[in-house]
Amino acid sequence: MVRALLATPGLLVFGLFFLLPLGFVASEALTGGWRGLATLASSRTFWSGLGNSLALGLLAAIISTLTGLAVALRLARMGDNARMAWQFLIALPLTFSGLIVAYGFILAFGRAGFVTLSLHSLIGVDPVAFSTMVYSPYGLAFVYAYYLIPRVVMILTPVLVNFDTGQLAAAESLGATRWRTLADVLLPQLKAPLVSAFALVAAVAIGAYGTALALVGTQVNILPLQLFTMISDAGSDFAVTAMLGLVLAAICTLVMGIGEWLGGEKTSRVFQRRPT
Amino acid sequence: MSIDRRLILQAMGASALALQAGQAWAQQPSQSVADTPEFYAGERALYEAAGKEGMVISNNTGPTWANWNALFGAFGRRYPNVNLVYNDVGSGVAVNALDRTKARPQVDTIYYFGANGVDAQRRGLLAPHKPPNFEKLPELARHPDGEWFTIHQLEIVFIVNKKLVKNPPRSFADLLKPEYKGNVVYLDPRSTGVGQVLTWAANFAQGGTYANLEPGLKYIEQLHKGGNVLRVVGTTPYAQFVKGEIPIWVNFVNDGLRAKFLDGMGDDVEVISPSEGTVAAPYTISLVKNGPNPNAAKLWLNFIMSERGQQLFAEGFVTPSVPGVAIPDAVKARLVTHAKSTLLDLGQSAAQLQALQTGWAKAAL
Repeated sequence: MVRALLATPGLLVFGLFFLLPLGFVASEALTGGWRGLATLASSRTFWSGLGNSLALGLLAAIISTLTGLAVALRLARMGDNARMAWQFLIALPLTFSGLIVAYGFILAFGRAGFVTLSLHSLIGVDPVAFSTMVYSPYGLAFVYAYYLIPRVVMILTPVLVNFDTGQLAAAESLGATRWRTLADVLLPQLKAPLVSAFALVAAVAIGAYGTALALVGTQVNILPLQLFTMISDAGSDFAVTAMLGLVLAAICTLVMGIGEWLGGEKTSRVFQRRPT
Repeated sequence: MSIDRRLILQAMGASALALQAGQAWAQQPSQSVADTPEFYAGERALYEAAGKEGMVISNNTGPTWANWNALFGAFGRRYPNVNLVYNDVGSGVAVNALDRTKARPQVDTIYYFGANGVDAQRRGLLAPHKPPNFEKLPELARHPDGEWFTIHQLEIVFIVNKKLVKNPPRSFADLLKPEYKGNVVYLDPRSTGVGQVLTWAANFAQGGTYANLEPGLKYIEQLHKGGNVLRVVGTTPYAQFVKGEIPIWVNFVNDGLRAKFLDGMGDDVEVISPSEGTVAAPYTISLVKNGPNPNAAKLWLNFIMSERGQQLFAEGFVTPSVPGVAIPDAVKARLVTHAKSTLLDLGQSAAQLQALQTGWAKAAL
């Protein structure tokens, strides 16, 4: 009974600010039956946008997970105070909005950016060629990594801190090479949080739009920007627009779901085994 | 939200009044309509009726766009009893929002890119009103009953950063030259009005017509294939231009002149009207059907269309719609002269919108 009461505020917020708006969007999407979905499915732009979004999400997630893992491994070996200080710094990018991050990168790596112009005067890098990188889809993946890496670090660090390094020492004393130790002892225990961190940042990268809009503009065909194009000044077909919104939400949920499914059960075992 | 903005606006109005007061005392006791000649017959009577309503809600008039802030200030000084409240949402969104609330609209006037006004009229959201100077507008620039009318126009030009481009292009044909590789930025016609207008301008420059989009689309394709397009963007990249990120920006004239005269770029910017001629986009305004403050709304619309309102547009580098408005020489000297300027025909361009957008996507992406 008390438990049910405690859950009420959460359920209320969930209902009012997630389920209800989602219901409105869904009813909008289904005006005229499944026409919205049919229009999407027959549109070449949608399918290429879907492909590009998935590629961008994967690329950004791979960069962020690998970098985040390396950072978390280092952090786990630090003293508590030093680690806390570093974690504070690493978490800072999470507080910036996507637009601000995009402009920050333009100010640093754009055509008239600080880094670009410094490289130009130091080693003669062509500012035009250099700045096209930050405005390309690869640049976008790079900028996404900037605020996705902290998320990965935050998920992995506690797991690594609590990891019993005695296991590694035991394996090595039994004659395993350094690499076999990591592959057979560390990685299996780290797989679950790695997978869920990967899925989380991939979903964020697939759904994000502010950074992309400010940085590369609508010429890069990804689903969030397609959605933006459809709801801004020139758009008026709400059924298709709402349907695209639902599809995008479903894709992100699916990616998260896969992460939970692959990682979920094992996560709980890792946490149970944790000595505290 | 609207309350916050009203408070801010009141504060802005008050400080503007205070500033103005110092100058005004020297010449005349007040700039209010009560103490100065009427702009048009019946102005004082309308002001009295509007004063009872006490406020007017002006939809989609963003203060930094088209010198609206100056018009707000002048309106507040002339009609101190009518509080002006505005919002800024974008033309398409404004019409859709009005459609959703048409049973009980929360705004009195609505301002937009002309094509959106035609759309709103077809959806039955507007009421007729004929302000002063209405009859002077060309027929293309107004709805016959006054459900929408053009208050200013904006021409397509090349805004060039001369630090990055030594030899600026003079025509649409010039833009295709290899020397401008990786230099051209413009707005997406799928998401913005300016993107559509510049596509029409390119089409006409290449010998196309409203019925024949092919020359324009072929031009866009050449521009992209040759690698001259640096980026197509979804929102106005004004800050990027001022920061020196954009060599050549095909855009409305007012952004270029603003960068030149108000944001300190000076002679580093050149604003060039294409020698083949340009296209002017009509920006229109309407009285909202069943709006909450109809008299105050009419007072605001009449002020915008008065000689004074039109002059204020010119001072913000925006071309007034009323022909023959007296513009001070100092203001005129800053404006751009066009080889030829064609007012966009809203009916004919609206009929081709779908073809233009899908054709553009095929040619450019």
